[in-house]
Amino acid sequence: MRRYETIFIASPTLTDEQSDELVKQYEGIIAEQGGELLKTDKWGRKKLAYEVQKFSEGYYTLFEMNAGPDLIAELERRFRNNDVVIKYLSVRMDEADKAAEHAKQRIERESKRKAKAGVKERSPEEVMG
Amino acid sequence: MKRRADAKKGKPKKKKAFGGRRAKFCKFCVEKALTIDYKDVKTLQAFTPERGKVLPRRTSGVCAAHQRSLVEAIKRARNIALLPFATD
Repeated sequence: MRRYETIFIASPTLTDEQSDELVKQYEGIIAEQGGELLKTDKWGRKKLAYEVQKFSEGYYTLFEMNAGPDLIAELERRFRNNDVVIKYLSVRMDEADKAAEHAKQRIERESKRKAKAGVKERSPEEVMG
Repeated sequence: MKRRADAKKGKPKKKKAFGGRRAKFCKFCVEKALTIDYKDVKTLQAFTPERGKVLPRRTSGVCAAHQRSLVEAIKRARNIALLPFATD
C-alpha cells in the first residue's frame, strides 16, 4: 500500500448537491477497489488559474488514501471517462513522507551539533527581519 | 521594516556586508520546512511573480535542494489549475 493524494475538479455546471453526489460516487469506488480513504476534503467552488475546457471555475475535491497502483489507474480511467470531471491529479505521497522524515532527522542532528559547538541559533524573525 | 527602525536608534555602525544589500537566505531552511506542499498556493505565489514564471534562485536566495522541491510543487500546482502556466 502506498499513500496517494488525488485531486479532481468537477465541472461548474453541476449544482452543489450534484457535486456532493459525485464525490460520494468516487468514495464508493475507492472503497470497492480496496482502498483505504483517509480524508476527503471538499474545497468547494474555486476559481481556476486558467481556463479548462472553457470553464473558469470548478469544484475541487481532495482524496487522501492508502491504495495500490491499480486503484489509481482505475480511478483515473473513470475520471477520463466522466465528462463532468474536467481535470485530475494523483500524487504519490509516501516517498515524500519518507524524505520529510529524513529532513527532520537531519535538522535535529544539525541543531544538536550546533548547540554542542556553541553556535547560537537565530530565530526565523531575526533572520527575516 | 522593523530592522530599519532599530538601526536608526543610533547603534554603533557596523561595516556593511554584502555590498550594503541585506543578506539572502533560504526561506524554507529558516522555517525548517520539511516539505513544500503543492496545495499551499499562498507560499508558491510568493515565488511566481506577475508573469507566473518561477523566481530564480539568484533573486530569491532559496537553497538548491529547496528550489528543486519548490519547482516540483509549482509544476504540480499548475497542473491542477491552482497556479497559471503563464499570464501576460
